Amino acid sequence: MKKNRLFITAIGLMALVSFTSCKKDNDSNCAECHAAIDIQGTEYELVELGEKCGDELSSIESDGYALTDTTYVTADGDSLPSPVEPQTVEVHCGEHDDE
Amino acid sequence: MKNILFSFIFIPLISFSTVIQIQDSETKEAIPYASIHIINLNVKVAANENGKFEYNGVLPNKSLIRISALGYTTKSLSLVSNAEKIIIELKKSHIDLNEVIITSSTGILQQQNVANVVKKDLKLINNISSSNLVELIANTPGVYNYSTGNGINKPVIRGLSGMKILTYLNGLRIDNQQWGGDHGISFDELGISTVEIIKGPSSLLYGADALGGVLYFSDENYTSPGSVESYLETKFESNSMGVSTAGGLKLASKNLRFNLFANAKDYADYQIPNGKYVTNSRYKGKSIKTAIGYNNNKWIFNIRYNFISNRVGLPGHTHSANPELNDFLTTTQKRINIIPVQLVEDHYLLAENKWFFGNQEFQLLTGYTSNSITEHDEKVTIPEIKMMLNNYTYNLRYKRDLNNYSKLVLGFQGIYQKNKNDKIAPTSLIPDSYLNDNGVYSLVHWNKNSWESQFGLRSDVRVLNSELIEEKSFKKINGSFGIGKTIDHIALKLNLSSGFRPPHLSELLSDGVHHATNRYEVGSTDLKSEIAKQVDVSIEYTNDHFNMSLNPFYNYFQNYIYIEPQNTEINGYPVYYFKQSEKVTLYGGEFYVHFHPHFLHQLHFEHDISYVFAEDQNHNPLPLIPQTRFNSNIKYEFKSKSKLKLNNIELKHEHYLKQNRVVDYESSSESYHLVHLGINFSYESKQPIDFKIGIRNLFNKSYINHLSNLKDLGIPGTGRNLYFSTKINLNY
Repeated sequence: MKKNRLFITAIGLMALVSFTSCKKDNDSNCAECHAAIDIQGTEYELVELGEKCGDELSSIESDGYALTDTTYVTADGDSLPSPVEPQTVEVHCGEHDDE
Repeated sequence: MKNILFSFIFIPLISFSTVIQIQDSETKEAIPYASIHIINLNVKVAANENGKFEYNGVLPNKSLIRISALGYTTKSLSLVSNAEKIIIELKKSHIDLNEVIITSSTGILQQQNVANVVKKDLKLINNISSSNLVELIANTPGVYNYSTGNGINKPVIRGLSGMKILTYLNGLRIDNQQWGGDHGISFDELGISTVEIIKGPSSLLYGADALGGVLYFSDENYTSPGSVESYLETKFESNSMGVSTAGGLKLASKNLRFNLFANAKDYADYQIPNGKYVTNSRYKGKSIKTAIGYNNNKWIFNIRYNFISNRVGLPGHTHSANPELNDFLTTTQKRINIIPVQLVEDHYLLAENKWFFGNQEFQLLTGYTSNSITEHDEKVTIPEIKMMLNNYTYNLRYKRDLNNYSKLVLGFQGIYQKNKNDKIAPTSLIPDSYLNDNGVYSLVHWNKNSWESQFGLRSDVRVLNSELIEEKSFKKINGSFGIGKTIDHIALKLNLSSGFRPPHLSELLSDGVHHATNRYEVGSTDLKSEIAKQVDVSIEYTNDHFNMSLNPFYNYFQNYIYIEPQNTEINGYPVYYFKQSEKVTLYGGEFYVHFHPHFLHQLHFEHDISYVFAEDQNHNPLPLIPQTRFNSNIKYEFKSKSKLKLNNIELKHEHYLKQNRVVDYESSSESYHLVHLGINFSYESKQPIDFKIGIRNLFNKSYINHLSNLKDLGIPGTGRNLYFSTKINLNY
C-alpha cells in the first residue's frame, strides 16, 4: 500500500514535471500580417498581407514589404497624415486584440 | 532559576539517534504534535501523540532548534550534537503573539536582532489567498505592490522599488533587470516557506544596491530522516479563470535529504468591476525547484536549483492615435497567445556549504543565476528586445562566539554580472556590459541581560565595463549600529544604517524608446552613487492578549536618482530624462496592533497602518509614493475534533487614502476600500486535505492603486474574485 502511494505520487509529480517542461503550448506557427508604417508615434496599416506561416512568416517579418506606389490611404481606406513614398516598410504579424 | 523552561540530559554519543521530548513546564505532561524545526538542517518535523520525536540522523554540533505548539510559547535553543535525549519544557500561553523567529540572513533571534527585520510565514499570511507572491507579502506593514495588471508585480518597501531594493532566495541574490517598471519578480510561492523583509538601507550584509530594503525568501524545509512527504495542490480563481497546479515531494534518509517541487499556472485576462476584461492581461508560467541536502556532525551541504518560465501579456497597448479606456478592454475573456508579450526564463543554482569547528562556523555560498527577457511587440518571429543577464555570486562568512555575550561575523561577498543583448532583436535598452562587485564586512552582535547591540562596517567596490563608456569604478564604506533594551513587556530598538547604489546602466546610458513604458528615455553618464542613511525606531508592547508596535523611520538620501519628462517628443514618444536630486528625505512609519480578548481566545483583531512621506530639497513630492494604507483583520479560529473541520474565517478590510501629493507629471489617486473574505477547512486523516475558499474584493469595488502601471490609462484593478483551492498531503 505504502509503495503504491509512493508510486502514484511519483507518477503525479513526473506528469506535472513533464507538463511544465512541455515546450509547445498553443503557440501557432502562423500569423496574420500587414505592412505598416509609424508616423509620429502612431502605427498605420498600409496593406493587409493575409496569414503567413513557418519560413514565409520569418522571412516577411525580417525582409519587410516593398511598397511600389505612393500610398495616401490606410488598408481600411482612411487618409494618412502624410503620403508614404515607395519604400520597403515594416511587416507586423500576430494578433494584438483577439476580439 | 525561577523560570527554567527546558533542561538537557547529556549522554555520550553511542548512536546517531536523538530523542526529543516536549512537555508542559508546569504539569510535566507530554505536549502532543509539537512542531520541531532544526534550523541548520532546514528540517521540520512533528512530535508524536506522546510529545516525543526521535531524530535518526546526524545533528551538527550546536544545532539551532525551534519548538512550537498550539497554546504554548515558542522556544528556541542550541543542541549539542552528542545529546541522546533532550527534554524541552514549554510554558503555557493563550496566544503566541511574539513568536521566536530566527532570521536566515544572520542566524540571530529576531528579538535579539536590533535591525528592522520582519519574518513572515507564507502559509500564515495566506489565510485569504492572493493571486501572486508580491500581493501576498504586500499584506505586511510598509510593503506594497507595484503592478502591471496581475502578471507583473514588483515589491515596494517604504516607497522604494526596482533597483533600490534587493531580492534574495536562500542566500542567492536574484537580479532580473528589475530597473524596468515592467520587469517583475519571476518566481512564485512554489516551495517557499518564509520571507524576511528588511526595511531600509542594509548594505552591511547585502552590499551595493541594498538601499531601500531587502526581501529574503527561504525555501521549505526538508522532511525528517526515514520519512516521505508529498502533496498535490490546485487552485482556481474565477476572475481571470485562472488555474494553478503544484506538487511537491520530500524524501530523507539518515544524512541525505531531497525536495522536489513543480507547478504550472494559466490565467486569462482579468475582469474589472464593470464586467469588461483587460486585453492581454493574461499570463501563464511553469517552474520546477529541487534541493539536495547532506550533513555530518561538522558539515552541512545543500545544492538548490530552480527553473522558471513565464509568458506574460503586456496590457495597456493600442495603435489608436487618441486612446480611450475602451481601447484597452474587451467584452470576452481570452487566454490565447497574442502580442505584445514578455517571455521570461530564469535559472537559479546555489551551493551552500557550512562547516562547524567548536564555537566557530564557516559558510560558503556560491551561486549562478540567469535571466532571459524576450519582448515581442509587433512581430512574432523577431523580438523587439532580447536580453540575457548572468550572475555569478559568492558569499564567504565566518562566525564565532567571542564569549558568552558576543558573536563576531566576518564576510566576503561578491558578484560578477554579465549583460548581453541578442543581435536578433533590433532594440537594446541597455548596452552589453560587465560588472564586478566585491565587498568585505564585519559585524559584532552583543547581548547581555536585557540589552542587545549590533554594529558593523563594510567596504564595497563596484567596477562597471561597457562598450559605450570607459570603465567606471564606485567605492563606498557603509555601516550599521543598533541597540535594544527589553523592560518587562516593552521592547525598544534603535537602528542606524546606511546603504549605497551606483547608478545602473539604464540610468547612465539609455537613449531610445522603451516600448513597455511608452516613452523615450535618456540617461546621463554624470550620475553619482545614491547614498541612504536611515534612523529606525521600534517600540513594542506585548502581553498575553495584546501586542502593539510603532515603527517610525527617517531615511535621508543623497544623489537620489529619478526619471522626469521634459515636455518634448521624439518620434511621437514623450522624452524622459534620468536626473539626480541632491537631497531627498523619506519618512513615516508603521503601526501594528493585535488584540486577542481573554474571554474569547479564538478571536483575533489585527490592525496596521503604513505611511510614507517623501520630498526633495525644495520640498517637492517624489513620484510613485504609495497611498497611506489601513489594514484591518478579524479572524475567528474554530476548535473541533471532527475529521472535517472548519479551521478559521478571516475578514480583511483594506483602506487606501487619497494620494494627492504627487509630482506635476503624475496624476493623483482616489481613496478606496476593499473587503476580502477567506474560509479555511481541513479533513484530518493520515493524508490530510486542506481546503480554502474565499472572495477577494467582496463588494466588486472599482479602484486604481497609485502604484499601478496602468493608472494613467484609467484601467482599474481586479474586480470580485472567488477562489477555491485544495491541497492533498500524502505522508508515509
